[in-house]
Amino acid sequence: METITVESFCRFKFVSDPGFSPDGRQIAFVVQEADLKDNDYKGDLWLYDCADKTTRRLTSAGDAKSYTWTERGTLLFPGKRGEKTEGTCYYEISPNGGEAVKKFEVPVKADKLIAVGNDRYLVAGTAMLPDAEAKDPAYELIDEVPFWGNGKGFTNGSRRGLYLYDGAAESFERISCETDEVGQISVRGGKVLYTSYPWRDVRGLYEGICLYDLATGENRCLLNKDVRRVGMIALWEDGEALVATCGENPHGNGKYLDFYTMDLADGTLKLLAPYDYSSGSGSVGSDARLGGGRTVKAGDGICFFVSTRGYNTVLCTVDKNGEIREVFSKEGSCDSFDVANGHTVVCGLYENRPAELYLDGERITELNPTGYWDVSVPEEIRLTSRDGSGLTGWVLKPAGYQKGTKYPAILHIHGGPRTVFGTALHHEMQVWASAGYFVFYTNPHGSDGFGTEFGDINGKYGTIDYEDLMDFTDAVLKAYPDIDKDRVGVGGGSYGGYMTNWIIGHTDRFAAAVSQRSIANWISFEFMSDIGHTFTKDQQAVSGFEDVHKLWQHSPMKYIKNCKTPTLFIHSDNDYRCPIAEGMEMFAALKILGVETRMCIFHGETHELSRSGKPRNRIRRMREILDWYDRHLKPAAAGKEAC
Amino acid sequence: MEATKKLPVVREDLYRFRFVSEVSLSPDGTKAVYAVNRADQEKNGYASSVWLADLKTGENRLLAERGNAKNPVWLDDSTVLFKAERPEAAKQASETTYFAIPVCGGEAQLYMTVPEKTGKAVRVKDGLWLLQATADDFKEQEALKTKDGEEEITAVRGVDYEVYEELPFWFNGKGFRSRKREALYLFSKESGELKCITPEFLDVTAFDVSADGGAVAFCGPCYDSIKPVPDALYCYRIENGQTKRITDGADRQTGHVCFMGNDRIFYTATPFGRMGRNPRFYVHDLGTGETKELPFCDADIGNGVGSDAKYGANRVLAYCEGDGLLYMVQTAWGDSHLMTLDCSGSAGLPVKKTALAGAVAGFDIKYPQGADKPVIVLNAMRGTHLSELYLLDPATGEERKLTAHNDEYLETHEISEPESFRYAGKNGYEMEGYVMKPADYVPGTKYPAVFEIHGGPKGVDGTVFFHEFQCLASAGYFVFYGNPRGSDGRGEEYADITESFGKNDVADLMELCDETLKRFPDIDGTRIGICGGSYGGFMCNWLVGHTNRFAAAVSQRSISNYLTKCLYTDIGYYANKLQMGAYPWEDFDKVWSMSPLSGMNSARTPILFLQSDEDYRCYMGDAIQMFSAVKRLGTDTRMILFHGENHELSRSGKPQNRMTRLDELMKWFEKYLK
Repeated sequence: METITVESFCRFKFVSDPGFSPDGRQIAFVVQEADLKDNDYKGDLWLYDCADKTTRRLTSAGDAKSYTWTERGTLLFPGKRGEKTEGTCYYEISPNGGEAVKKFEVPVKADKLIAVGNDRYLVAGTAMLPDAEAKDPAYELIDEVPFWGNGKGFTNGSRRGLYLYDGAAESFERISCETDEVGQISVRGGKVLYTSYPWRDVRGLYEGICLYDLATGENRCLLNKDVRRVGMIALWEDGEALVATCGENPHGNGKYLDFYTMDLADGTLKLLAPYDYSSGSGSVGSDARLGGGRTVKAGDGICFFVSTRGYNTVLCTVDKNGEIREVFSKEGSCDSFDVANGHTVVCGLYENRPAELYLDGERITELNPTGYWDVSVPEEIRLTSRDGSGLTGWVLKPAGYQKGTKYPAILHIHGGPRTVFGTALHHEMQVWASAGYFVFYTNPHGSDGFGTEFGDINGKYGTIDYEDLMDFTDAVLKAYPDIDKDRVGVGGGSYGGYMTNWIIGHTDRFAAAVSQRSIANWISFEFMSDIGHTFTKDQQAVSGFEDVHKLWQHSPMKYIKNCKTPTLFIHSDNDYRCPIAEGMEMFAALKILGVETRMCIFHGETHELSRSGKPRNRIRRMREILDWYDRHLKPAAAGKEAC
Repeated sequence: MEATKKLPVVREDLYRFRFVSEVSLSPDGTKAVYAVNRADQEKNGYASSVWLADLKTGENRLLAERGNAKNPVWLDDSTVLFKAERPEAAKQASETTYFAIPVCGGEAQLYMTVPEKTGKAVRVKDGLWLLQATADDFKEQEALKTKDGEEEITAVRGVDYEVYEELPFWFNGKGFRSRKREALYLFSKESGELKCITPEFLDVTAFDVSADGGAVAFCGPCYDSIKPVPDALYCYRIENGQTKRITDGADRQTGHVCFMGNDRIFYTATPFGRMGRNPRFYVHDLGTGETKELPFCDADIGNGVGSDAKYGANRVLAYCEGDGLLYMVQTAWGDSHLMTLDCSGSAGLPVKKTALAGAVAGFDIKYPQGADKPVIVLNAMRGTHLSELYLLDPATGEERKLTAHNDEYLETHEISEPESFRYAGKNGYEMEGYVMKPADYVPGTKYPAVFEIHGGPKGVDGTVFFHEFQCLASAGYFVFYGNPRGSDGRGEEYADITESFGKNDVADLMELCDETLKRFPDIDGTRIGICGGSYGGFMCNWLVGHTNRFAAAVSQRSISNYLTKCLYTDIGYYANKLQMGAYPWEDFDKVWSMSPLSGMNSARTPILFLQSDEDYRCYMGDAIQMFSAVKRLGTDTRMILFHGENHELSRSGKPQNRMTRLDELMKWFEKYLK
């Protein structure tokens, strides 16, 4: 078996986005792979034949990372094959043979294509507002909030609109309103239901819902913006939609959404079933996946959706009676799926391996050979939080573990905070285990999967979540006496970076820390982050306009003078979620205070560096982290070359 | 002659300006070489050329232009050395090429090629040159990591990523600075050998060569973690390669260094602990090892008068062997002057040698053998002129204009002349204000006005040509400004606004505004805009949160939040700490209360932010925070974020970006003041 190293992810095949062909006989999916030479990822379309159970690759140019089945049984995908376009080119390929041919081009940066019949396609894509000032590459004009978006760059004056492309007429029209920022889209029987937020100046919180009639071109607003929080939508009958939403928000935006029916005649909402988990999105953390796919699909009076329940993301259904069932509950993470003719295909992270496809529960792909990697299998550990709720965590043993020998260890903290760690394969945690560390992680208060009450740390950052992590560390040290308590490191990204920054100002129990894409100061975060204007108040219970002292109270910077822990900061300069300023503030503070520190900044990367950053940068990042931990947690190895 | 209507000053005039710099006199004092810089529209950059002025005939001649000829120095009375980039000469992009040109005719020839990116060549002895370049410790580290020449596909530091190990981790105009230092090198033209003479980890801030070329004095902080403010002065001996530390580096920051002959070094050093301190002057005798502190004159050396119509470096300090005097430029009120200082015996205070108002940007001095007085050429901004060379008579203070690079422009354009007025300030000081009237001013008509606030805060504005101000006056605005407490030119007590940001300075500015309105009743008090950069941007941000008396604001390279500014900028960790008196974790309320963002709930003045994304002095995070807050409050606001520009955008940014900047600024005021 192969030892997992920092480079191992370059040999992973990242499977994603399964979709049944219209006749249900084939399943298309995407396989992506890191290309170290070009320093990017190559993606191609693959097919699985349900009858003869064979898998084959369809495209080979490395540019196909998403696709759409057409009613003709062909596949359309956005490609980059030498055209110079400001928009997006779509190529068509037949599963029956022949190379892809350019089908059409749309003048927007398209990110989604839905075939709606008669050679007509819905296109979601980004374009400048019609009255926006002309862009000049020399500078950015900023007159909106937000003006940038993580992974999107400067977004000022641009909107994600919904368009209709008609292949016969070669026409391309916007369906959504001029200032609409379109969210989700659901299509059924000639109707298009979509969520959107029309805005200028400052974007608000809650999307509205619109219904577009493909036959008549009529567009009706069924729910105004800023009335109530809306999540997943699904047209499941000709006259009715399923809408995940909630009326009141006793927990800020942290309340999970209940299921309602929406009458398409007048937009009337009726509570169908309360629900206390995520709907239409999963949050099991991993850096061993890449690519998208379907997370919601409506049938007749039934809706399939992914949901993080506990520490797994599972596939569920909700029906007209309000009955909610788990239909695929394998331990791990259902990342995307498709259903057709009673069959279900799931792409997910299971069995301590990178993602593969599972048809009706059976694995049907093996792009990542079984048993190839020497994986440290997570061992579960349970404890009780101070408020009585249960906590589940895991411990990875170091490679070649020998009982009675002392080992260093790493506490890893996930982001969000509304996400979970489970048993899904996590590359970098395996790297640390391979390198001789115990690795342990859990889901403290604020995490996803355990209901609104548990997941609500609004205004409580750094309190019960911090206590959970410290109690968990105590429990792990007790259960695994071979961990050398003087050689425990701590790290995490985003909220995990925030918590790392918090921890080093509150305890000296950790011998080293690695804080990534972190938050230092909620005041600067509120006015710089792409989500700062809404997220800050939502998480801290106040905005800077109301109470800067409360923000400061929960800012790691307030406590930094207590810090003695050597800390490495990792940040990306195009991270507009947690702007690089946050990491730099921390680094400078530690320098001033005389605490050993280092900061590594990646150019052109975003908040997603660890998950989808350029391969060479991901390698460098992991080397920096491993080197830092090695230097501080393995004193014997000091002086050894880092990489 | 028929009187023709003069043209208004517009932003595009930038392309017509010629900026004189780097004047250098021939050893015999009969000729001067200098650089002329201009904004190049086609290249969207700056072009420089080397010119020769004959002091006797007054003739000016272009010597060299191709490849951005600059940094002229005399090899002898008939030959000038300059730096240029010429495709036929440099073999590698990392090299620097110097050319020698006879001043009596003929083209330049390649003189030497230095294998580093170096600046002005300073002559040590025949064939031996002193050069400054950036030493990059990391480059060497990385080279060591390549195993057996095996090429590894890997992220590259400095390209794909940066590592911060030090403070500062970046520096305005210099990019990422971790493990990089300014170092001095001796270059032998004969052998081609380039030898670093400064200690590892020392960051050179100033240096000078002794008259006989036997020694190099240099100063700068030496550090491997946090760059300290205090530094030390060193002397390097060419003959034995030994370096001796002269000052202890305990509590002073060395500013200027100047050899007085071969055995004495004049230097300035500023004590730390308060803002705005002026340096103390010292003379160190290398022979006896003794250091003498000169009487405190309470003024720094240098031209502190602000202008966006200058470019290039200038000499501001020189020792004249002939008369045994030090010559230096110093700033007083809104002007800068050439001063002399007698360091002998009972040393006194500097004596003013220039009489005119305006700014002395730089000078050169030679005392030819047998002459009865030195030859002094000034690079000065006089009247409404841009920088030109003037021959100064040291006896009478009279100046004779030597160059006329901008005369035609000035003759054909409507230049507004600033008027100054003084009043007794409530702060106990005599205060000065400046007002420029709008073009075609008709008394009795009401005009809008722009109140300009300079940066620093230890800078000054005076009467010299300021392109932005002239554009505003031409467009029909009164422009007024002054030098509130915190400014230079009035001594260090005046300049000290430690821990009183938004207090003493604001009181002075509001009083200046009142005094101006009192004297110029044609200014419409309801249509005043405020405009400023850096500290001036801090003040704009502050004022919009604390008063509604202004109708619009243009806040440039600004400061909004000292909680962050003191941590993520190049000088924040010491300079802003000093200004605020605390780090955020030491006293949140103190730091926050002096941060403009704390006034965000009241910010109702329409405000435009102009910011550069490589400004590491005032990082964009501050402008972004203020913009977001004001925008969310519903106040009209807009931000232009320039890519690849730094804190110097308004002074040396890419010309096209300077056009955009002025255009946005003018449009904003037009929208709200007219």
